Amino acid sequence: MQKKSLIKWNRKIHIYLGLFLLLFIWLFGISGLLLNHHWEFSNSWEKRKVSSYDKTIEISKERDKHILVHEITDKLKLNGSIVNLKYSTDSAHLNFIASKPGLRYEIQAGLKDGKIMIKETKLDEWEVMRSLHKLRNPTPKELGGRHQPAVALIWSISMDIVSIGLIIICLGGWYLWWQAERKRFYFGLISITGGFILCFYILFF
Amino acid sequence: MKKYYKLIKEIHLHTGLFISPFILIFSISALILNHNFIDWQEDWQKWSFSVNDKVDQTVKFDLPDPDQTKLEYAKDILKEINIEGEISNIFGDSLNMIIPVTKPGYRISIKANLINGIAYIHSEQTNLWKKMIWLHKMPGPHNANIRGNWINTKYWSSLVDFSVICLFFSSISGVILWYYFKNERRIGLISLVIGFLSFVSLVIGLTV
Repeated sequence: MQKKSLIKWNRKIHIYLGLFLLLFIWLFGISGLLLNHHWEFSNSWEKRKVSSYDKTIEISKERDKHILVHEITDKLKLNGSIVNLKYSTDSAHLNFIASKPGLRYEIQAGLKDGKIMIKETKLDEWEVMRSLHKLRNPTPKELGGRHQPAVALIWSISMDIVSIGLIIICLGGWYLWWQAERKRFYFGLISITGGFILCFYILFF
Repeated sequence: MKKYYKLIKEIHLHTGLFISPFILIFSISALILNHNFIDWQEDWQKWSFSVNDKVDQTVKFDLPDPDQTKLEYAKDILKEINIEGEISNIFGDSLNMIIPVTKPGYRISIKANLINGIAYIHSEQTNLWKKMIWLHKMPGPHNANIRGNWINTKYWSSLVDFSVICLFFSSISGVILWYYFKNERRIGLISLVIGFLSFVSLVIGLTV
């Protein structure tokens, strides 16, 4: 009775979790293929759209670059991850890149006059998929005291959920297969052994 | 539709079982990559040239035919010194060639002297987690012009493609099988809709 109930609940979890994660699984599958190959149709960098413009804002006397970048992105209403944050050699400009999937702003902020030079690069939907695949929790060094954008944090949490969910789906699937009738079990054994041998070959030899 | 039920069930079972080890490798390594549980972001440039600081072995080799591409030349050197792996980059000048090589469990920095035919080798072993990360990221988008230069990287790349195709078959057959289970339709639909809404709202939030 207990075993039957375990099979029943296992099957339910297998189905519900699989359906919940369906779009995430497809996204990571397709973007994985895109990252693995360099197909012409998905050559996003060649098809990028670049525009440059200036804006002038009031910049405080603050010289901590992490506080400054927060102030500048707030005033420009830009969001995204900040990379390559550095002062120019004469310390007159603060340069950084604010990027999010499919969009990248190269910023050169004049600290004396508040003149901000912005180079905006728009990338296509293939690059958006690739970026979503690669988006992860930044290290404390990468964050440099700044806060990670809330949506990026939620996305990285959802990546954990997808990973753990997939592990549960696999283990649940193994249990359901284990309970299958003998003939199906033995045929299944061939499939799973094939997968393991191929993985172990590259992992251990 | 009912006559296909058995076939779809078998497709779901076998594709699912086949890809399960791949899924475990990718899921576990995704967790490591996402949280930086181990220091996988080492200084790439620094370890590529690590042979300059430490040499474990020196091997003499016959200079390969110079009339070939840099990659083919580097591959010939590896063959001569009996080292296998993915050449991750090639640096150097007419005197020396630096060839960083990676493979699951190892990373090797080689400095080949192109005048006297001596290769200086420094190799480091990596743990199981880094092996998984290697598999997760190979061949990947970087250095596209040389990536996939080792037979096992090509083999792994094809396997990953095949496992992704199996994943699509497994998930589509799973959705069709769910349709057959009348008792599961309602909650299944709720799961699907919640998943869809979570996905769409996150993608919009991140891109707009």
